[in-house]
Amino acid sequence: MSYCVNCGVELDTTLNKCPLCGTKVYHPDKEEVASTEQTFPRKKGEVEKVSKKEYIIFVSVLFLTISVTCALLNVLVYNANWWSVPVDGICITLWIFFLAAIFYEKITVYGMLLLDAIAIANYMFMISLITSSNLWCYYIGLPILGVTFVLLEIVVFLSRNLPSSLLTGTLYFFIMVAAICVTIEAVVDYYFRQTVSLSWSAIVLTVCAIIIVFIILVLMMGRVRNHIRRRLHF
Amino acid sequence: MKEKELHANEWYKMDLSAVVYPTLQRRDFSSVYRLSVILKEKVDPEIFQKAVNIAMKRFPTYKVAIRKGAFWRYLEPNNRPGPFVMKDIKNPCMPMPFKSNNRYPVRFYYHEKRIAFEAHHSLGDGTGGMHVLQTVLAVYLGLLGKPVKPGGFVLDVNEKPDPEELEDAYIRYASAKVCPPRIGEKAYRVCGTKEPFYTLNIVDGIISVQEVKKVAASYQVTITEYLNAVLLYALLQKQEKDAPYRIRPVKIAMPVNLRQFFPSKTLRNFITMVYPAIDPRLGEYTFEEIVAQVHNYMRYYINEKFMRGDITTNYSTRKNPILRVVPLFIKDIVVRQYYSMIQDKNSSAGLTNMGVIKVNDDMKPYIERFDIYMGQPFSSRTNCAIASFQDTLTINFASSIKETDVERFFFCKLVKDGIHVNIESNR
Repeated sequence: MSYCVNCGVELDTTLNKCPLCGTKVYHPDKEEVASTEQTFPRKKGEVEKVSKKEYIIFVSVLFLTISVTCALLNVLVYNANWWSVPVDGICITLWIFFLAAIFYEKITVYGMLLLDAIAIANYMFMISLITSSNLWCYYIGLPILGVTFVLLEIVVFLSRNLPSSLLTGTLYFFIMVAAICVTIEAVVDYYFRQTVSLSWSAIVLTVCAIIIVFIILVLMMGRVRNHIRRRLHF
Repeated sequence: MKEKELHANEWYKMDLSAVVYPTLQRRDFSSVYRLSVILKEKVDPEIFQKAVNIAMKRFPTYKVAIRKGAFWRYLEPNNRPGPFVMKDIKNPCMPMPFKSNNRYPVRFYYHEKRIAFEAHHSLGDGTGGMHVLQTVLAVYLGLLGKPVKPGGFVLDVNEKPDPEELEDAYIRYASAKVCPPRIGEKAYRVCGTKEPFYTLNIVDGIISVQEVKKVAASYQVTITEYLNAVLLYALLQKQEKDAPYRIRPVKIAMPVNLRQFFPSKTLRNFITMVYPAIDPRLGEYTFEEIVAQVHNYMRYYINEKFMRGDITTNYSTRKNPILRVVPLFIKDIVVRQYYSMIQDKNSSAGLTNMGVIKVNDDMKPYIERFDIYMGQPFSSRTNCAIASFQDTLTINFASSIKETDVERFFFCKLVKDGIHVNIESNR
């Protein structure tokens, strides 16, 4: 029989330290009195893995069937234009979305975002195949998608690693709105005029900057935050 | 054959409480509780398996699979092989994906002299689970040549289930004329370091019923009220130690067995929650003041009228026609958000007290004690469950955090009050 000198509780003979405070048990005769019977098992259990093979096959076959039948219909019957290409694009995009959802346990949220970005990029590329020029995809679509993807990754990283609240969420939202608007105007300008001159996005940027500075101030000053909460409670 | 087909066509609606639990299901969380009994002799796994096979037929709402409908989940009879008894593990109450274990949302374990039963809360509450555990135990002892007569928690396995055992008793008693609003305020949340997946830290305190009764009597309260007060005291100390930016009230989520107010034989969920609380923002509380506060709260709230009002409020949400036609996947998203943003923040810890576990006289000589675990907490906090058998009262803490401050403050207070505490742990 051993007691914890710190907590005063009696400890089970199988314990080497007090589970409450971590103090080591000292008992001169411990080896002699130690019980061979373990109060708790030592082996950890793991949840049985449920096979997702059937779902993967079902989803893959479903999208493949839609894709192939539409392609055949396009080639053999309605062959005025390549309308089946965007349909195939949708199938590939949805297939990537579904697979990412099925394997969500193995993929981190950053990986999921990357897969989603690849799926959307692939869809844009497939649409560009049936348009007269595919430059819009490289000079407008992909840069906007790239910037949105990077911003989302940063926001997810920050919200997972820093304390999050409604205010921080609003802050991230306005930063993203400002950055995306500037990107849209910049890439569109560059595509059509080969120069970058901000106009409407500068107004969005200014409004967002004011809001962002205000939120950062509120976040930094607890007294102001409480005052605003009092005034605006509903 | 005909009877088998008839049985296969049966299905059960989830009861009023049960609808919430599956929506909270995460990869690393399930609403699973564990009831276990320590016998005086080692468990024979083969006979234990036979006992489970015989006894489970008596519990049609436990021998089920949880299935998804378009608007609600439901329980479907499960005729797959099992449930099979398994060697016990270090981390009880681990997540229970509905498609694993041959779709059985129950598990049976054995270790040395211990028999443990784990069930998903969607099937029933602790009282229902105790019927399953004790009936399995009675059959097990019967197979060992130690017959146990039915009665109390032990049901006759040769009888057909009484329809009342399968009912959703909430509906029968949701008859208040008003739906009292639920007043909720954010409570203090224990700050702790999360343990890795597949870890459930257990600290069991074993004390004498007579000793704790004497101490509780010195404060002129019941054992439940005294232990509630000790837990609140421990949580207050923990908050003081954490020194959070904003002090919040300390609240305990305590399930109340409604069968004591509304007669029902149901083996499914029939509980409601009460929240004894202490608000340290009002000033410093002495332990005597905490005890008085808990005592008065219990006397005021835990009665048939308040409980009926609470059931009616819950039921009115369920029968709302708009809510009923919302597809299940939307319900899941909304309920999960509501739970994690409001309900989970409404309490600092969970405490359940099953009180004195009644056992048939035939079975008493073979039992050492009972243990109850509330299971894995939804957020980083500690859950506490209490049960007593003869002179042994067990207090079981379960948490998924590294820190043991709440447990330490709790047991140290008992020791200070002169109660001898014996500690067991899987840490």
